[in-house]
Amino acid sequence: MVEWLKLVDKARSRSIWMLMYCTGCGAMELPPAMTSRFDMERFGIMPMATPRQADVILVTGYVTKKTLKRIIYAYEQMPAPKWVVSHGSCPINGGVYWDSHATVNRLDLFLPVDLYVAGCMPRAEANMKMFTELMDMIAKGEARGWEEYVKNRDYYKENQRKLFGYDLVFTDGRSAL
Amino acid sequence: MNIYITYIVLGLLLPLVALLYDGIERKMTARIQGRVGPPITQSWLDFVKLLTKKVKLPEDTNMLMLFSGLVLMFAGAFIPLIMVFMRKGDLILLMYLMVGGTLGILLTGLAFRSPYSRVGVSREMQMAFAYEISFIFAIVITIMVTGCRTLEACSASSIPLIKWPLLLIPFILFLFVAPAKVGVVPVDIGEAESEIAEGPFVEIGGRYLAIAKLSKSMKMLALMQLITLLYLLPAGVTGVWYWIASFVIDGVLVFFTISVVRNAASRIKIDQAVKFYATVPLAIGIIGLVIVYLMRGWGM
Ligand code: SF4
Repeated sequence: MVEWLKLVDKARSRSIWMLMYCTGCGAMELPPAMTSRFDMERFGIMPMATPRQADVILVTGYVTKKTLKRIIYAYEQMPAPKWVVSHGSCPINGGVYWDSHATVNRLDLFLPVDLYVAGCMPRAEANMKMFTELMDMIAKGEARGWEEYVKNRDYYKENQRKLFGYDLVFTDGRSAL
Repeated sequence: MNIYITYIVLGLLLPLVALLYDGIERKMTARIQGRVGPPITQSWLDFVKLLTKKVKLPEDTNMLMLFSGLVLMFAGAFIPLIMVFMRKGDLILLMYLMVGGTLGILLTGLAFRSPYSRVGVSREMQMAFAYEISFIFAIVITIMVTGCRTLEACSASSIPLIKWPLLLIPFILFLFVAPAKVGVVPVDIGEAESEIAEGPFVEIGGRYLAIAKLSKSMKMLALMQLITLLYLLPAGVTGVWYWIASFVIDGVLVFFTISVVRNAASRIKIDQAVKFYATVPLAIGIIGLVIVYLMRGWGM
């Protein structure tokens, strides 16, 4: 059983489909990672168009209140196992927008972030490092953000409620995760 | 007894081979674009990952529609795949089954209320009307030229295309239809990822998506093997050589009808695609049918 789970983790780590939530300027460095120079498909990493088919949600850049709502909606639509990667300084501590009235400075208060990539913006080399790091974490079974989200649901929901002033309503009732 | 074991073994192995062909196709595409590309086993890994994901569907999903769609889709690819590789079965039945696979995609899309899937279904339906007619024409012309309605009877001692030069017409039709039937880039308008987010498949993930992907690659392999059997492979080739020749010719066909087409063109609009399929291949089909009918009168 354990061996089988290891094999599954291996397959998961070699086949990461990304939902690229390109909110900020950091998305500019992703096209080189996709095309022939860096070619992320050689690791099995592909961009996906819909959250239902994605494994990773990649938040590139600053997060405003309005986009955060959409990010949470998209995250809750993804089937587990799922991972969150925060890309650039903005979702880590606000970056250059740290004192803006519109942005949310820390993404990890609202979603369980598995991997941070610092930089403004992270270069393509940093992106490749991020991909390999994420693959390693998934293969070893270290990235378990989606379980955190279920375990600490009250904490995340409380933070979300504080920010928006009301509960986000989901009609996605078929599964507990 | 023996034949059942053959069927079971083939039924287990051929889907894996189909996924392998999908991987090979992705590798070839990557090489054409100057990339390294994923390993050829990539589709297996994707399949395992999708199978082990949790299921998450919208609350108002019509499960009956979803399941019947998936079953139709799977059957419309799996049974033809076994039939063409065993060289057994009826051509007309094969034609119906492969059209049924398209119907499965439509049903799957209709199970959800998402506007993307509705748009995808409508586009898929328009495309199906445009290209399935050419597909039917191709099969009918083939039957008229060779005079055989079952796959095992179509046995020519030499390459069919050389024995019956008129088969060139359905062969060209098949080359036109193949990209649309498999659903690759210039004509994958129903599933356009960047515009309508996978169309009919927008809400499915996990193991349902695994079945959809598997069906798609099985459909590709079945179509390629059908072209190989009907036009390129002499019936005298049997045993190990049959398998080797089939797989090699299939690979070459995948390269020319899928990879090259996919990289040479960008996605066209739905009206352009429908206009194209309703003129060029359809005209070839109708003219070909008339020519074949007249030639048959002269004993050719
Ligand atoms: S971290 Fe820098 S590059 Fe990224 S979104 Fe913020 S300001 Fe833009």
